[in-house]
Amino acid sequence: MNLQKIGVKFFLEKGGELPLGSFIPVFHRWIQEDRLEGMLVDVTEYTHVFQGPGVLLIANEANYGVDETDGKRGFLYTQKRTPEKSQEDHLKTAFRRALKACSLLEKEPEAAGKVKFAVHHLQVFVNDRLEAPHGSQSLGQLEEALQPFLTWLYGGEKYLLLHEKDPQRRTGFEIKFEKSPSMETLLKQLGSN
Amino acid sequence: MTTQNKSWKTELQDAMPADWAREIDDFETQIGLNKQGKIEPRVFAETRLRRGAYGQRYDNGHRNDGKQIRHLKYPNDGLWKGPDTHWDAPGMQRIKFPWGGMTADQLDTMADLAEEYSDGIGHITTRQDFQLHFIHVEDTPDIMRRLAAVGITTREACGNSVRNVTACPLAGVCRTEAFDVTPYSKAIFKFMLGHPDAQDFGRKFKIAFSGCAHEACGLVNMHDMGFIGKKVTEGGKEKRVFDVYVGGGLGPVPYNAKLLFENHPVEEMLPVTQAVARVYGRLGEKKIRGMARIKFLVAKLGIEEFRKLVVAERKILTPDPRWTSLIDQYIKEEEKPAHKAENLRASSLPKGFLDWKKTNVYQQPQYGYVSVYIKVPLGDLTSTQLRVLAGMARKYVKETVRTTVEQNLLFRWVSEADLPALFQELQAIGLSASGANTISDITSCPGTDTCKLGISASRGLTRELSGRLDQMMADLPEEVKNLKIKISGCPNSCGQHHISDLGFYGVSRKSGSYTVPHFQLVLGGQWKNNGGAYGLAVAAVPSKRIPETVKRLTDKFVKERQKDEAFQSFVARIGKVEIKNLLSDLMVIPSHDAEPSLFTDWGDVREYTIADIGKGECAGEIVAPSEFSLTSAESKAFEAQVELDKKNYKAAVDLAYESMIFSAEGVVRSRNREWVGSPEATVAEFRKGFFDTGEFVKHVNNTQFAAYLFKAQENRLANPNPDEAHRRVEEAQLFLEAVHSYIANAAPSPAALLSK
Repeated sequence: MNLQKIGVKFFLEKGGELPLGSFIPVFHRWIQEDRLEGMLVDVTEYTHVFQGPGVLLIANEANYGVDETDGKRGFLYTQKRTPEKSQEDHLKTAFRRALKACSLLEKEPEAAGKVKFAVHHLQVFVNDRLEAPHGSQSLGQLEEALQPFLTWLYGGEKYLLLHEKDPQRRTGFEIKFEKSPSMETLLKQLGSN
Repeated sequence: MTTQNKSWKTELQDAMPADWAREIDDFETQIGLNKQGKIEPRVFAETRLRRGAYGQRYDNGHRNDGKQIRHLKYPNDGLWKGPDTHWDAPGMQRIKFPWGGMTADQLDTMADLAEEYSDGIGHITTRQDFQLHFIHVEDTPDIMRRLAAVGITTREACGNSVRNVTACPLAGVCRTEAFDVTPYSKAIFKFMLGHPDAQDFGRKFKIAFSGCAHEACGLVNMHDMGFIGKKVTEGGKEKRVFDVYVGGGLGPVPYNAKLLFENHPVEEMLPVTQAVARVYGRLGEKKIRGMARIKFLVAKLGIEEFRKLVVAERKILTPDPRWTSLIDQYIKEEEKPAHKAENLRASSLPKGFLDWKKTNVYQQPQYGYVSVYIKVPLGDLTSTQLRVLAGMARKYVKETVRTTVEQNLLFRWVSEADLPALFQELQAIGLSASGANTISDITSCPGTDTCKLGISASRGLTRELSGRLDQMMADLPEEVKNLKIKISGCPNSCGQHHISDLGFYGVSRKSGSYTVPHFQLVLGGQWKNNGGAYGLAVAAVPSKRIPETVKRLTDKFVKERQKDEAFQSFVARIGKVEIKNLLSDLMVIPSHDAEPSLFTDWGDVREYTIADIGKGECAGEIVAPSEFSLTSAESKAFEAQVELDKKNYKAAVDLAYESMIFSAEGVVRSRNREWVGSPEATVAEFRKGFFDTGEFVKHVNNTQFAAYLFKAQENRLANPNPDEAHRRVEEAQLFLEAVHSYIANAAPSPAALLSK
């Protein structure tokens, strides 16, 4: 299975009311201080747009951002270019980068105590309609790839998969765990400090 | 997800027109050859530009991160997609929508592409195009294939070619048009796309269509070539004709289009366009980009001589059956409504509906039908919004959607009875804001957000101003509501600042060792009459004080307006001196410590710089001799405008010349603080020490600004006409802005000069 160009979004548990503009200085600082993996290029903002991509940190092969699609704020990491790695690594890389950014964001002065991500509530999709056209076959294959990965990452905790029903949207799932390890534990499992 | 060797090329091979598919394959081959170093970066740049694949800010690998100039380490360091343009740097893909027409499938495709390759946003431009940002050049062939599969080509979206053909979005549903210009704009797009006579231009060539002269419509006056539809009666028969214009254009110095042919038969539209293209291709400037638009050729030859050349060229053209067949073909394509005409039922209308209807709904001449303007903030649509709009287009209007030059969307042929439901569906995706085409519906170019040439944050200012004005809308007097604001990030006028009531373009000013983002206020422009008059710069105000500038001007207008007086007339009556006095305190830059927010731009927390030059240590308030020269240059440039307003054209031209001399003196004194010389000696010193060495051009990225000075020195214009005087005054202002940029970028600091 050629699973690539992964998108991962962790929804917010707390912090939905914080103005989107608050994240602009944070992202600029991350570029100044090279805080994230990958080559960071620029910050762009769509605070004027209804339920849009919000504020983004554009990296060479992916976008990081505080996203508001469907009115659900969360941290979204979307790969646009294919990383040259194995399938498992694609998922691992995407989760590690997304979670690392969430973890950093919770500690930033603009967000500390105000923003908390729900690591038990997330969305995963394939950002590639050629490789993963919407349909039961793609959904089945994605589920097949996700299952062992999520079991490994979340230590076998039970979860619910809700597949994306809109055929125009990208193939993906909303995932809800009954219980979840902490963000630190997940990052440790992914090999990130 | 498992199929091997799956590609968009094979998936879509039957969905694309064969010739378009072949062109895209060729482009992909050129990408491969460029990667192998087999194509010169300069040649590849023009190749990709002609496919709409544009550069974007920071693609030279340098970005000010707020603390330092950061070298961006793109993966394939040493691989280029143009001169000084990194291969892996994000770029912009421009997508042409001729006459602004869009189908539902095209909206859906834009949604998919924005998600997969860009940042989730499709952006409507000021010329009815779409743009996607942060695109990798290697993704562009697949983007083009997916567009081609829904009938869109990006060919000639950029580069020295015939760009998107624009037309009044109301064409065919307008109450005052002579006739529907849509079929003609379709024919010219089809005819000129890739036409052999349009492949050797020195610069781009933009065409526009209007159905009536008095409205804004297609903004023919500011286009390289334009057509205004009319009807005349000949031998008792009504006949369609065009007034054909040529040589208009905005850019740093705007030119009014000249009437090439009056009452020209519509059947002659394509051959005359071909003849114009051949004359321009043969005689237009090729070497100096800043002088290569057709407006310079028309001004140089004069419209009479240009007309003679076109007539002669027309006579020797080999007849082409498409001259008439294309028009015949497209005239048969009639738009049909999705639903039958029904009146609006007045009961249980949704909240906010009536306010929205007042500003966003246009009554068509066809009974029972209206057109709906969808106000799109900054022209940005999310993928979700694009998909819902596609569904609405299928449901309500049989896909008769158009983009507008004010960066909105227009749904045509809406049955009045559908309006409440349509409004509610727009509400659900946050696109039901009222105020389309009012003061809060501001047009803006990308500016410093993504444009390589941006000086100030035009989008940031637009976001701020629109937000404030939207909140005040209910309390604004009617005469203020109807004003237009247009904003560009630099003098190049992509935001069309010259033709609005209140125009702004980005500039910068030096304050000690800091650089401060500013906007030049432009007044006197006219939106109506196809962009009938161009405004002039009045005063440079720090970016963060523009909202206060707008407030003071509109308050004064409301208070002192004479009965039914238009804003343009009001500005002319009270004069620029009074306006400048009104704003004089706003123009004073305080110290950094006193007001630090002034030293950052809208929506950007980084300390402001231009051209990514880092700020030095604050050297206190040392004033260099060059700064005195620039103050004098500012003063003379303003006096020139005052004389221009008084119609004292000779005085205006002389003052503009003096301003240029002071500006040049400022440059010379930046290196030689003792410099004193006659105007001739100053120009010679400037040329020798700063222009011939490439020093000045290197820091202002353009040869044309210095060319303005040399032209003024060579031709002092003893008897200038109004157009010539207007241009000379504009050129003096632009040369001054370029000198400000040079001083900010390249000149030694005052402290360094003093220590010498």
